[in-house]
Amino acid sequence: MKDSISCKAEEIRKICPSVSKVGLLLFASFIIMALFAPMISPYDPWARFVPYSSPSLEHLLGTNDIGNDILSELIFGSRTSIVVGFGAAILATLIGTMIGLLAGYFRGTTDEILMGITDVFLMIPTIPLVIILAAFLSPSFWALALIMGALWWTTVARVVRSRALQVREMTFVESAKSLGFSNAHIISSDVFPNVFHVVLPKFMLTIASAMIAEASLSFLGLGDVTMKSWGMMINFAFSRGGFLNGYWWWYLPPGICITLFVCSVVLLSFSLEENDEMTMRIE
Amino acid sequence: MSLLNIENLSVSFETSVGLVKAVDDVSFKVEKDEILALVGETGCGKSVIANSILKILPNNARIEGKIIYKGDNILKMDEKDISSIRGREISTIFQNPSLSLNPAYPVGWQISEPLRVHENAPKKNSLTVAKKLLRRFGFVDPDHDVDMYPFQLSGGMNQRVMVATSVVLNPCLIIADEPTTGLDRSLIKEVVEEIKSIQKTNGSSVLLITHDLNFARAVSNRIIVMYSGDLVEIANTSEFFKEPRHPYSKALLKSMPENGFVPIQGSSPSMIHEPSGCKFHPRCPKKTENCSIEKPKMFRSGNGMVRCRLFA
Repeated sequence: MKDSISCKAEEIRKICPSVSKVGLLLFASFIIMALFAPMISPYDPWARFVPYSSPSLEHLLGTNDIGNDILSELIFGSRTSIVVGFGAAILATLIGTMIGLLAGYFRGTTDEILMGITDVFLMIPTIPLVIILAAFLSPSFWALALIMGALWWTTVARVVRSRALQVREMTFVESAKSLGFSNAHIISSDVFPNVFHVVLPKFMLTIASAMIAEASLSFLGLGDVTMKSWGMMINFAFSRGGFLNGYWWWYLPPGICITLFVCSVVLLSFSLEENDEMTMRIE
Repeated sequence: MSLLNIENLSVSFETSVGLVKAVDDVSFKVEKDEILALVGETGCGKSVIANSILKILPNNARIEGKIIYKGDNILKMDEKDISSIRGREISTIFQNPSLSLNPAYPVGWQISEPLRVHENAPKKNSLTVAKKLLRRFGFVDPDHDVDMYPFQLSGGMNQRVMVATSVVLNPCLIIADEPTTGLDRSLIKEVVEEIKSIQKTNGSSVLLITHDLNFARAVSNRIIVMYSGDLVEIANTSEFFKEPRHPYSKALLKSMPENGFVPIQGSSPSMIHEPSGCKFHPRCPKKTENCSIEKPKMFRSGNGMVRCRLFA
């Protein structure tokens, strides 16, 4: 029994590099797709052709109810999804890292106040709040990224704090203090570089969950109607009879894209964490 | 005037089990250009003295007395003034060199960091200084070694990097806190040479904290023996090893392997409920009745001082 378990661990480790390669490949291809959308996409996503046409050489993935080319929509839609994902993740990671570093490094009252605020934010149910805010504010994907970023920094803050608590007790921090460096200098050059490796995987996972949240909100009809996004495409496919009539080329591709992109991000963050554990083991 | 003058320093820590008296009414001086060794068993308060000189004690510490450095009382200084002394005037060599270096930066960067922070030296110049220091401390290829990370170097090399970091700003006083812990014989020999060379070339004083008596003997000019937060003997190193005065010092020397490996009877006293009178009396072979009642003063004896009634 024990043997088989260690065997499995061994196998996983062997596959690991290829897992991270697959993740990286997928991730990179989606990023390239978003960056060079106007060059890659065969048509303008707003241009109209014959509606409801099934996949053909002319329209590789067919057209939707108003005659937009699905492939072009898909390629341009990646921009919205990725911008929302990255925007939310960058904001959340920035806030979370700052708060975690300050709380973990200074401890005491600072820690208690900041962690108290974190607990309050953790209590707020994100998706319902985003739904309410999206309903009241004009739904734009910038607002979506902003709201999610402003709510999701809590886990980053907690992870960073706990690592900072460890690092602040290490001898090189004490030696930096005895060399007369300021707190700001110690945080930025001694503590931060040594918590960075826990921030990166968290950052990736936040991208993934922000993208899923964007897709679900768009599907619920709370997204930005003027923007092409994967969630919006599924929403239209659902509300305009794509599902009922079995136009699979309309709703399947955006669903697959969301799944693949989120998978690639998760795979990347797993391999980052695995790398991290490897180095820990070597230490 | 002596470089550092510690007067009636007492440090205690408030803990959940009671007040721990780590350092009890300690006074001594560090002169210019000398290497002073502070020896004693673990937990006798050596490192607490070192940390109170740099004011890096934890928040639950209560400090009384005076630590006068070049005429100013360090204990009265605010954080900003003490920061300008740390590293520039007084620097430290920590125990366990591999853990005292930041794993995220190359060693050259770390050696030159004090220059950039305290003197606003440009990056290029500061790295040149780092290379010079690496060469001085026996690195064969400094151009290559400045870019190495601490985990790529051996413990002994890291030790030399630590020493280089602490002398980069030419401090007047270097506190070496157990610099030989975890090092083997040949590396200890290296550290001896390094400390002597710092003292010679930079003209810095060194306060050496150690429990390794042989190391203290090889390096220091004067020696201070501590027992359970008390100073028990101050003597010149050569005299001390020829003729220790305090019964504790005698017992300590006898416990060295080359002197017969005779352990000291009993165990170190609690720092919370201290023994009455002389703290060493429960373990002392020469105790009298008076010893358990009244704590002896420091008595002058020859060139040194000793806290024992036998020398009254």
